[in-house]
Amino acid sequence: MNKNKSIDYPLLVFIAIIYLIIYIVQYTDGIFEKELGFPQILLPAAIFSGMYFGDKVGAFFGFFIGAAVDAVSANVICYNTIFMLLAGYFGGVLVQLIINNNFRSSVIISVLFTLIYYFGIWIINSFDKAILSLNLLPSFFSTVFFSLIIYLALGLIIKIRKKLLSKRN
Amino acid sequence: MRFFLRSKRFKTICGIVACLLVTSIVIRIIGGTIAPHASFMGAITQPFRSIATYISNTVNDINTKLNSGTELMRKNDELQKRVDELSEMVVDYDNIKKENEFLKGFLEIKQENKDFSFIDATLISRDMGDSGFTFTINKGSVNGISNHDPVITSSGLVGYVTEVGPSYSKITTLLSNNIKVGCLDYRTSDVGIITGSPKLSEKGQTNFYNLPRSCTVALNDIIVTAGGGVFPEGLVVGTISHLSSDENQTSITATIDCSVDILNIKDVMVITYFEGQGSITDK
Repeated sequence: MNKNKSIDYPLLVFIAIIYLIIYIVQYTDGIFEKELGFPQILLPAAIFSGMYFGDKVGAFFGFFIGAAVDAVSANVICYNTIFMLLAGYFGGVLVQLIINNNFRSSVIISVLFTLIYYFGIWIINSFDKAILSLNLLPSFFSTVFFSLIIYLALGLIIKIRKKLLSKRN
Repeated sequence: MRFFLRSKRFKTICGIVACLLVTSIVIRIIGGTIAPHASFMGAITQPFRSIATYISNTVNDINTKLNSGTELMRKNDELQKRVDELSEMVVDYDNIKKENEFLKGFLEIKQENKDFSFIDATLISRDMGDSGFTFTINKGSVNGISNHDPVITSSGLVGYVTEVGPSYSKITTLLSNNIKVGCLDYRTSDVGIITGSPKLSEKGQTNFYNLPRSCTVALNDIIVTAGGGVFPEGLVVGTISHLSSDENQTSITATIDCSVDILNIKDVMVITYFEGQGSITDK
């Protein structure tokens, strides 16, 4: 569905700035509390990019978001870059080939990728039960929760942008 | 589906992923450096993170001062006095004297160890998704920091440098289950290994394991680094708060209260050189 659509570059830049702000807020010490699980908000953000702007933009955003996360993350080298690149790309591909681009399918894809993302970390940590229960599961649920907020907020931004463009035309 | 798999874009993505996997493996073998693309993104975002950290700290300070600072400080003084009185009554005088002498000795480390070269650094970001509380500091290879350099504060050991970028470095803390530090009980000289645990890290505690069953370690004993290789000897790690046997009853494991408040740390010192500094091949 994104094949014939020309890319709205001002909107892309705006979304990129939002992602940068999310990144800074997430990884600045003292802003986010760990108690309720640390959400990886940038993962649904990468998938969103793929779903709304196409697989090419999704892969582009996924790569740079992943690289930025890898710069501060304790995970295995390149894990976030590879995963978010693929998540952004396949987010776009799934929308083009299989599913409709709506809120429900966005959430389903996001939950699926989040599950795979944390399962991957669990494998890297040699299936450590303590890490799963104390760290990964709370993080998974909080990421899913924040996915809903992210999709609603970014969806709203895109709607407003479309309205503005249609008014201008 | 066949068309999709044969598409140029899919092949490009596969190529990029393959390159990243190779990069990951090569860096894993070489060790100690951040992947080039991550290093690039880290360098770009570092000024933003530094500014955000500065703003966050300033807002917290102002908030504390304005809202509850004076009241908290007064209460803190009162409680501190009370704690001091109780401590004097409860704690054995000889132990206190011994501990004081030791801590006094540690404070003189800087003067005594002329061979130590320090670089002070500030924490700019923290991976809250990691149970080991890995964090990033604002100094890197251009400042003289290299892989495996020990990181300390005036209270004791924090961890060591595991990845170095040009202008920032990643620190693996004592709370991480990826760290293994040879340590000894300062009083008894019993030797064991320090490693983190997800169950203990939230409380600022770590594990001291592989102690022989014949050891004579006791609660409140001070644990210091054994020296040799990555860490200089005599850096304070913490005190023993709990003792237990392992599952097979073959060795003793102790829980250590870290002397450094790693969860709320802001400034650290990186030891870039000390006499006898070596390197580890693999964790």
